[in-house]
Amino acid sequence: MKALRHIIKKEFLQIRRTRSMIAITLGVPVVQLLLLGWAISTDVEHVPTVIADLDNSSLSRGLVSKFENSRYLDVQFRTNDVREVSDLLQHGDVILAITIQHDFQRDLVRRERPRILLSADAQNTNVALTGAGYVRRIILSWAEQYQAKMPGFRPSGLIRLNTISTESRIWYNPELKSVYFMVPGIMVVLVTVITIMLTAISIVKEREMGTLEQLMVSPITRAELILGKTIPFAMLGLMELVISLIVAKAVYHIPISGSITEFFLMTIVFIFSALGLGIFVSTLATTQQQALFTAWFIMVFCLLMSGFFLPIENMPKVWQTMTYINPLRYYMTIVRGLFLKGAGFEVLWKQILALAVIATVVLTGSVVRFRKKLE
Amino acid sequence: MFKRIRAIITKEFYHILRDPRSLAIVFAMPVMMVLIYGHALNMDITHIAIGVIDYDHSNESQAVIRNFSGSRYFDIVRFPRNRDDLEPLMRRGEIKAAIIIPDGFGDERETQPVSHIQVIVDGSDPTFGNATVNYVNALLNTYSLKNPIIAKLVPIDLSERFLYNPDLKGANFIIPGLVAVILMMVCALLTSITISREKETGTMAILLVSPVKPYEIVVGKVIPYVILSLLDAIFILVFAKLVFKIPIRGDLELLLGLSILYIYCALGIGLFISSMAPTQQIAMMAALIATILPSIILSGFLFPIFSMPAPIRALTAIVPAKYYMKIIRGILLKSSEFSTLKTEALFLVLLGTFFLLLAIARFRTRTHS
Repeated sequence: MKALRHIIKKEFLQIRRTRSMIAITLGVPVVQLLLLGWAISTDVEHVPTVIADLDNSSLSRGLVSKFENSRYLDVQFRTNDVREVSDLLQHGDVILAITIQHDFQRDLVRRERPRILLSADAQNTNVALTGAGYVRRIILSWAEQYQAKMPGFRPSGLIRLNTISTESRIWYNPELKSVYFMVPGIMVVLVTVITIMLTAISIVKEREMGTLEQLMVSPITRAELILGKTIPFAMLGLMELVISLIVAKAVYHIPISGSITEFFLMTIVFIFSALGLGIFVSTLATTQQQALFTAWFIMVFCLLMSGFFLPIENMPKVWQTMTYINPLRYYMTIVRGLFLKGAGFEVLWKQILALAVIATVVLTGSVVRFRKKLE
Repeated sequence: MFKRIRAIITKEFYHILRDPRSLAIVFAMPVMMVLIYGHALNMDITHIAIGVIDYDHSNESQAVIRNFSGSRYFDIVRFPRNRDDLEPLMRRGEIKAAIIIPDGFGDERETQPVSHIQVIVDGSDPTFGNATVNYVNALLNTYSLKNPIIAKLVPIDLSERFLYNPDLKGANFIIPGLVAVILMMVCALLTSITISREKETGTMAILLVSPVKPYEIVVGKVIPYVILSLLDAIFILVFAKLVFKIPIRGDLELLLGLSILYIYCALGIGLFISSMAPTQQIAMMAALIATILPSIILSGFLFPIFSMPAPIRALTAIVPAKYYMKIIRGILLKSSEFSTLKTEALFLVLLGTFFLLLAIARFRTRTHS
């Protein structure tokens, strides 16, 4: 046990000596968290739009002003030239193009159903569908108001006869703010980077410098060696987490519905699984370069398959099965569940169990490989 | 001068062909990444797990429920008995939304102009939540409008056209973007390897004392990687076309030509970073971190740039992947021509040259210090 404490002390000394490592561990992730949390948003708002009002009547102008006043659309261009509309779409300056035909008012008054043409750049299907939905809603609401003003209108419901109106309530994130979803995810990313990459690099560095062999011939056991190397990084990772949490709360006001203590406990389990992965990587690599590459690839892979960028439910079954061995997937569920849904142990025990299993398997595997590599 | 550059180029090719790691990065990795991520990353939201509570049990309510079960956007996985059952289901994530049909719905439908249904959506994942709300509304809207008399009562005919991706395939959006990200990754890795290999084997010092000028070293090192990355780009595009059936609506030669500009820019940045870093490790980490994350997040790959706050939008001006994203998506999906893309091409050339010059300057200071 005493040997363990010495190893830990040695690790911390080594970490402290490398200034750049400290900057990377503490400074860069915070900056990244700020930047990314700010930049990443899947909210579809202020969609660049062009409106071509070919009628320019009082009715059409009324409709256009409804578009312009909506916070979901950003009407950046107004034109009468149809060619300019297609140029703007082609050049990617707008996503939505609304064209109100020339006889709009006349046809409307005559009840001849004038046509409004909406062209949407559908490369990003999510944005296109949501944007089209906004346009549809605005037009329908304007049409209702218009009909209500018509003479001879019977308010008993000529407009929406037999329609089904939905009363939607959104739980956990009523404004559908993507920040609440993204920032916890980014926190996961940062903690993962710290633990996996730095662990892998540090171990391989020892091997390169030859000091690993010296450690091997000293009276410490392999388990003590591995633990001694991982605990400092675990602590660093935790420290990173605390800083990120403070930033998340202070800057983005992310709600934390669940219990913070439970969160820390679950994070410790995750950190051990991530560390285990880092060590495992280090047993595969002989040079720091290789360690870096391998750690990086595994990390990017885990990241993309964790449900951070795109939901796991969307993936083909094959890949969904693969994510079962990805610790990031479980931790992402934990973080988001705990923060937004107030989920606790009783809901998340499956994830924690999975993480614990991964951690044990990987750490034991690493110890075994360590033994084999050096004999 | 050209003789010396040619010598460096030949030397670099020998290095590459003899190093299995480089070859793996250049050829195996990109193909693997396209196959894996192209297949796994799917934007299309379908089969949303929902629960349905029917308090009414009328013909009308059953008809509405049938509509939901028949839609490929929804999977009815639970039939909770009452509202209290919803909370644990939503919290566990077993359902992402719930449709609640109130008692008396059927009567309401027959006698009242408007009938009501309650929808509860899990908003913790806003993309999902948004899509769910949209789809529910669209489904019920269509259901209402199935009656032609009703349809005529809406005074305006809204005609919607979805351009460039009429089938709404998420793959058409993601795969071209993936090409941009992968190319950047390959270039960053390759440049970091080439510099550190010279330092590792000590040949860097030999190079610097030879008659080869600094800029000749840099140029000679960049050209082989431009050629290889271009081969890579072609490889990936072929795979994209064959496996994912991505359309190629524009001019392929234009795409390859502009891809060279992108590669040039990416390699320039990679070289600059490698030349700046004091140690190989930092060089690699810096090259990866400085290029990959911005390429994924700030380029418009997954997240639209117009959604970003103004300062971040300004930052995207120095992300090469952003320009190439427009180029590759433009040519593949919109059949864009050079006139539309010339600003992007210009930026790539400017950025690349800027960083290349900086890298050469760093080399020069090394030789003279």
